[in-house]
Amino acid sequence: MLVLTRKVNESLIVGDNIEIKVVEISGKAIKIGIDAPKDVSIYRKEIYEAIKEENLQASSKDNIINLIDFIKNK
Amino acid sequence: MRTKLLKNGGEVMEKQVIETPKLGKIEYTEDDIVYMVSPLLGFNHINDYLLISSPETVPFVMLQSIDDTDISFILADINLFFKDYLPHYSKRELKVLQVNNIEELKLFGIVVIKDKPQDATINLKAPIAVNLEKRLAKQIILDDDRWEIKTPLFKSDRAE
Repeated sequence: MLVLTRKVNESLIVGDNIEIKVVEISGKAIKIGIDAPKDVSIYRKEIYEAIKEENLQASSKDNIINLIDFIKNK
Repeated sequence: MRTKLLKNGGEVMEKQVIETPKLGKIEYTEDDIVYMVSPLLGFNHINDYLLISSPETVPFVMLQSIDDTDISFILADINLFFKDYLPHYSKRELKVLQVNNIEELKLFGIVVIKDKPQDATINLKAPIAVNLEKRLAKQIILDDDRWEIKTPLFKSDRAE
């Protein structure tokens, strides 16, 4: 991983059209601003991972079998 | 008999068939395809889906991948279960789905059923918004802590 040091209000440019800026630092929290094209999705990583995991679980085979059984027994 | 959701256009389109492990044989035409404008997380290789409703599975609908027939999801119309569910979508998201306001979209939650169906959960944090008219869909991750990934679908204190 490339590691660079930045101060408040300093930025990084990724590619030609993504800018990542350090907006504010307070204690251990850092506020980051991102300018990116509309088709680039930006997620907090832990949420991204959680949604992905949920999607994978949702597509498992047992899921549908259980639903069909449930509906039949209603 | 399974019926595809919406679309009763007049002209006859060429029918195509996929064989799916869970739902059996499904006939569809080009017009039935729901295009995922950004792929579902974890399913980057898949954009074309069918939204299938059948009397046996009401109030659930199936989201079946055309490209990879092994992939399918159970969805539920969120507003049927959660009347007050109205997330905020940015202008940008609405534009991507080619609508002017959220009321033009149908919001579906992905349902996960572990062992007991009565313990099923629905993902309200990342609903799949569908423009049924234009056949466009996107899973939108909400920046809103009111809604959770694993929200119980059935609750004894809530009327179903």
